[in-house]
Amino acid sequence: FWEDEELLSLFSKEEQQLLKQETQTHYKDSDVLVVARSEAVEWVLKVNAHYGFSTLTAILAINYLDRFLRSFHFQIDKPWMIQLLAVTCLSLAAKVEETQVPLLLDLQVEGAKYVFETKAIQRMELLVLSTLEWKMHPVTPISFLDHIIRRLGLKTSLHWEFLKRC
Amino acid sequence: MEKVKDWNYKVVEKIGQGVFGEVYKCLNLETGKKVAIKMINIQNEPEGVPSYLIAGVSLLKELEHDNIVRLLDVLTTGRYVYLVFEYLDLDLGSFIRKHTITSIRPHIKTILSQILVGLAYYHSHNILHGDLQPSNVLIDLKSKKVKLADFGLTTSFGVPHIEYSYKEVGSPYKAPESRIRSSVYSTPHDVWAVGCIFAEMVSGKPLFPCGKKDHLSLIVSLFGKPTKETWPGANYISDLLHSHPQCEPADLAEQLLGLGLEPPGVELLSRMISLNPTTRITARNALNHPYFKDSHSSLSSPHYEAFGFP
Repeated sequence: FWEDEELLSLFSKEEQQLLKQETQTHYKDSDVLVVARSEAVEWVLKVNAHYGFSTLTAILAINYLDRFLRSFHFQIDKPWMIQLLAVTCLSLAAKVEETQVPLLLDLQVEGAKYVFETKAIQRMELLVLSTLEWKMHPVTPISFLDHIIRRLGLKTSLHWEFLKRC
Repeated sequence: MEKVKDWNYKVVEKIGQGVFGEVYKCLNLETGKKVAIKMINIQNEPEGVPSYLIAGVSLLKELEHDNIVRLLDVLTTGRYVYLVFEYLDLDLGSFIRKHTITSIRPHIKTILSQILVGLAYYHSHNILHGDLQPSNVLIDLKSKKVKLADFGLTTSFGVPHIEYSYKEVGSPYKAPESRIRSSVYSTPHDVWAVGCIFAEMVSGKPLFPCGKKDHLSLIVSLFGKPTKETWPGANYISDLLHSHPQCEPADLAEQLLGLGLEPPGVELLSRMISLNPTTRITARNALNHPYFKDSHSSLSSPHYEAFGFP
């Protein structure tokens, strides 16, 4: 049955992702990075809400951010670096997932402390893309949601409304 | 393209030019293997890396199939993105040109079935190839493998878009709906192209050659002028179709039978080039067609000399 096939391929893809993560060097939970990351995540969520992007867009942006931090020896010695990374990850996620993507300049709202030129963001996009090996469609918890809902046989409009918001 | 030297590649020759950049045949100096490098210019992109490129490369990264050339690597400089693809020396176009139709005939089934297996894989991932033609079907004589490639850059990685199909004139493998329908084309478009390739393997020449007449006239002269029965949903007020004179369909079946194609092959071909895209056979269903019934066992046999040309 095709749906099961799809589910199995999701599982195997997820497994591969996890294997990959384990072989990468984990970043030390240094305070600076943890604080910087949490600020970046908060900012991404704000902009995501500002433009009414889907939840998946936010999840992808944060997935890119975490994967990048984990695999790249990123020195947060300058406070603007994490902001550049956050804008870049959100821009990439929006380009992957959204049909309408705001201009890069317009993306830098909601109390963005620094504003970057398009060229700088493009260079950072290339760095993130190659660090993530251009794998921009990771399996996320949301990938399974559709399958769960379908199996539960939820059919009322309320359920679909719930699903739509995910 | 000079830049690829830094990554240990040597440029052999330019093999393609498309909307999004140029394609070069190169040699990996470390492994000695041939690759095709697609060079995409991003320096004039106003909004960073364009989304078609991100989505496209990310999809290609996930494709892994014996009958599809692999994307081996993605290299970047500030101005260009280089996509490094696996490459095989022979393409089906040259293969057909270099051999007589009688010597090609025993190999049609194995080539066609591998094209369909690759295409069914694309379609199962919701990807359109969009530019299937003999030059995009690569052949490895040693391993008897057929692999689909897309170096032409005529479509942006199978993202459906109608506007390019209008701009591109000349590809004789384009399905009729890409010319007359106002909707975007989908997976049946690729199957049409496979049908054209199939006919070309049988007859040794393109089913709809470019040149003298326009593509649509050729299609109309083969099928007769489409009616609401043969092709519901076509846009009949389209100038392209409206101005065509009435004509009787040609008997393609008889020609192909005369060229040695078995009756089930003729039946399969007619279902691949059905005018109406909604009734056209899918790649997956085509593989289960009786035409392939007697070939599956021999395909899996190691003794089967798929390309045993003298």
